[in-house]
This record gives sequence, C-alpha cells and structure tokens, in this order.
Amino acid sequence: MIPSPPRPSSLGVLSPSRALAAAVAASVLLAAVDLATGVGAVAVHAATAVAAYLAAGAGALSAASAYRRGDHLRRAWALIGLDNLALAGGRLLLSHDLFGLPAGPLANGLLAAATVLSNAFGLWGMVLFASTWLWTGLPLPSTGRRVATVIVPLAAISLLAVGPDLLEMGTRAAHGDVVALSYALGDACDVAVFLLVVPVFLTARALKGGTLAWPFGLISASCLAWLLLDGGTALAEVAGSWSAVAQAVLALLRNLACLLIVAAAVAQRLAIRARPR
Amino acid sequence: MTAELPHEIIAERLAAYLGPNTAQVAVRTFAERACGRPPPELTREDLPRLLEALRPMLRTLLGGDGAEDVLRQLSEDLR
Repeated sequence: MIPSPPRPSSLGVLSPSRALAAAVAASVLLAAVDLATGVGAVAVHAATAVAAYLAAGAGALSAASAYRRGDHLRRAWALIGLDNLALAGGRLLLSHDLFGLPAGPLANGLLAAATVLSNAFGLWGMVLFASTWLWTGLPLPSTGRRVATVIVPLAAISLLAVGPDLLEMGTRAAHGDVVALSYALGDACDVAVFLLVVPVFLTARALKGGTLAWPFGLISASCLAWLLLDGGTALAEVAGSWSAVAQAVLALLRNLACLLIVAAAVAQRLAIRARPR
Repeated sequence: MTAELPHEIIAERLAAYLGPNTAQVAVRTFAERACGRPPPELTREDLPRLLEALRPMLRTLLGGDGAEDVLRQLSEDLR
C-alpha cells in the first residue's frame, strides 16, 4: 500500500507561514523601537539595523549549513549570509564614533571595503539563486517574451529608485570620494539584483504547492522590500522630507528585507530536513 | 486520489517538494530523456534509470543528503 503523500512543510511548531508572520512582527517591533526612542537616537537606530543584518546573516548561514559542501544552494545561502554580515559591519562603521574609531581614512576605507564586499557577495548569491532552475535540467517555466515583459518595467523602476543616489555618488566618486565610489558600485549591484528577482520569483511560482516554493518566494519578497527601501529613500531625498515617521517606514522596509531572509532560511531548512514518510 | 502507477507515485512524492505541476513536468521530462518514452509507458525496468535521471535535479534543490533520502524512499515505495 502506498502511504499518503508527505507534508514536509510543517515540522513541529515551525512552518514557513509562521516564520513569515514572525519576520513581519519582528520587523514592525524593531521599527517601533526606532520610532519610540526617536529615530534621532543614533545608537538605537544603529543597534536595530545591525540586529536586523546579523539576524539575516545568521539565518542565511544556518540555511547554508543544512546543505553538503559542493551543493549549489549551499554556496548561494552562504553568500547571502556573508552579504548581510558585511552589511552589519558597514552599518557599525557608519557609527564609528559610537565605539571610539575616529573619522578618517581608516574608517572610510573599512566602510568602503564592507560596502563593496556586501554588494559582491549579495550579487553573486542572487546569481546562484537565479540560476538554480537552469541547474535542475527542467524546461524553462516561462518564455523569453514573458520574462521580458516583467524585466523591462522592473529595470525602469529599479533605475528610478536607485538613479538619484547613483548620480550623486558617481559625482562624488569622480572627485575622489572612496566611500561614494563604493556606494555607486552598490547602487549598480542593486539594479542587477532587482532584475535577478525575476528568475527567482519565476522559480518560486513554478514550485507553487511544494515546500521549495517558500524560500524562493520569500527571497523575492526580501528583494522587493530592498527595492521599496531604495525607492523610498530616493523619494525622501527628492522631497527633502526626513520626518521621524518617514525614517521609521524606511527602517521597517530594511527590517523586512532582512527578516524575510531569516524566514526564507527557516523555510529552506524545513524543506531540506523534511523526509517523506 | 491515491497514485497507483509508478510514474504517478513518483510525481505524488515529488509534488510535496516541487508542487504538483513541476513534479509532473519533472517526471515527463526525465522519463523521455532517460528512458525514451512517456511516463505511462514506463516499465519496471525503466524505473532505476528514471530515478537516476532525477538525481541531479534533486541534488540542486534539496542538496546531496536530501536527494539521496528522497530517492531511497522512492525506491522503497516503488517495490
């Protein structure tokens, strides 16, 4: 007799949907802490940002550790983990005065290095996630024309979101500002990452109804939060509005971007650890 | 609905991970690629080749250990 099909998505109390709910709740809580203490409280703002990045880094590395050495998604998750750990380092360096590191070439050089590393890790990781479907050997789930109809508008939106900062940082970089150069490279990487969301999302959609849809879907959602964060930051700069509420909303988007990675990592671990009965 | 034919059993097992549509696509794709015939025409002798053909896809998505577990379970279910 054939046993009933497995339901590997729920192991004990953990499930992808609960991980998603926890990620959203924790993002709101962290943003509320920011707002309640006044976003001007530099130390609190830095601490909540670093906490979100560290959580994403630890979650992604945990997902990587569930795979064997040489597995495709082990590398992808490890790179996303390193990306977030470098972001945490960069955020700490932005607040270097809080822990006694004087402003100057050393702090700037370290900040630029952390920014370049985080973007390189993030882009490479997303390339691996986006190429996962190709490695399965399955026929492509969408036609090139359908992909183009999504990618073209997404490219335009990404450029609108990142463009103002890219222009400003590019101008400053042209005058020898190393940190601005790293930020400009980061903006360019952001656009590439936003475009790579399309194959990642299509992978999630193709896997709909299976446990493996969750990690790819949540990674796509995380990237969408990053896109909204970049767009929101550009809007705030254009409008010249940096109210506490605006900053809290941006902090919420950053927290979501990070903690959705944690939820994706939990979903990935659940999918791998599940065993057919 | 309970699966009875070998390709239905495999698709049903894989659906938990890949979703029902992609599970069917996977069985069809690798049956034709490895055995040269559509899933309903598979014989018992074809099944080891089909399972072997599924291995790289499962390794990519579930990792080496996860893939071996799924393949082991499938082999048992198909006995």
